[in-house]
Amino acid sequence: MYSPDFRLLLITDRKNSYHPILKQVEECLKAGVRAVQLREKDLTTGELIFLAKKLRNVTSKYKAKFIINERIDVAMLVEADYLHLPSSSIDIEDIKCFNKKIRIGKSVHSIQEAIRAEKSGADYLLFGPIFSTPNKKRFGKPQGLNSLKEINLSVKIPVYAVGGINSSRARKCMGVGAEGVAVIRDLMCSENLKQRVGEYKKILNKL
Amino acid sequence: MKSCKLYVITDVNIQKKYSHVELSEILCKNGVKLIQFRDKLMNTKELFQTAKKMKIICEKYKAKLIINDRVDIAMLSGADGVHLGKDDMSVKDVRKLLGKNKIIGGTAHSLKEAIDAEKDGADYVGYGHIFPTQTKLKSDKPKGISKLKEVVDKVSIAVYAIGGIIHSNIEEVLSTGVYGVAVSGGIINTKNVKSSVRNFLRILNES
Repeated sequence: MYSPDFRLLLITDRKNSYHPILKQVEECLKAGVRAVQLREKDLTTGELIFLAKKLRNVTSKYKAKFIINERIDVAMLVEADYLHLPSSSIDIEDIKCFNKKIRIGKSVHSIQEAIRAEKSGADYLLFGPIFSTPNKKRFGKPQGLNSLKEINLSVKIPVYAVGGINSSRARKCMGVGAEGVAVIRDLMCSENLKQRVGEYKKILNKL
Repeated sequence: MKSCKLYVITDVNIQKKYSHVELSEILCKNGVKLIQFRDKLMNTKELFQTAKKMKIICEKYKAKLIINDRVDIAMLSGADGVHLGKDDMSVKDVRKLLGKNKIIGGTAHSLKEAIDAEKDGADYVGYGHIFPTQTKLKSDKPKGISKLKEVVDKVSIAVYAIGGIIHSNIEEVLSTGVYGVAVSGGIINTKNVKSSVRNFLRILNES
């Protein structure tokens, strides 16, 4: 079975970025991050494309995977590696109907959603929030490690844990069978990325 | 784009009586052949579901459906094209995604922008606003008839006059040789949408 070749997924949040977003992402890539998801929901299409093109260039330079949130037009335009669909977005079937080849990541919040996403052809899942997070309002109540374990047992495709992740919590997620972790704040807000990414590398074995 | 002289933009903020889908039905039934779906508040899923329904209606009446800004929604719903504003994707990028058979419209607020839209490969350009309008909040002054005439004379793609067009000023607009008129409030925010459409079509056919 096809498997994404990364364990640590960086999700952008330019408003909370320590450095300007492009520098922050490049520092992460330099430190070894191998997958970046562009998620900046409040940008106009023009701004989003401007940023997407820049990030595609820099991720290609470091041979990292690049993922676009929700916008299949932007994903196709910049030749992103994956399209990521939020849980309440357009159905995977409708995307595949238009573009059979595009690889898809999908956010899920329950076992039912996870099973359905797998059947519909998702390549991997993001499940969360596992822990409490400053963004928790947006993601709902923490799901906890037990739910993560159940999800991992319910589907064959890789599951990434998201929500309140830091390196020690990443260890717990890996302990219940997660493929890897998706991180926003712990990497976006950090100044010393070499050290921070290094901590993840130790725990995940590889990035 | 024959018999597309009247271009109606759906809007559910300036009026609350009808949904986008209901407007499409009324407009199509009464002879409108070109409709633009514009909604800046809906999420991606709502945009997609609405566009799909509008496309079915438009197809039934052999009308064309253009999506404002969102190329992804245009692709997934099978719409006939997209209309681009200055904060949106560039015409060149959209052409890469949609190919040459789909309609791409540009927006111009100056002669230079209209000429640029043509150079970039737009199929038509919306120029305005010609008269004061309440549909969109505008900080700049209305362009007026003489500037419209200048644009019509200098570009060879179809020009749609937009902004504050009502049936009492349409003859003046048409005197510039403009291809057609793009109307939102002047039709959908009137007491009787059906008779407004018929009035507009009658005047447009007579000229």
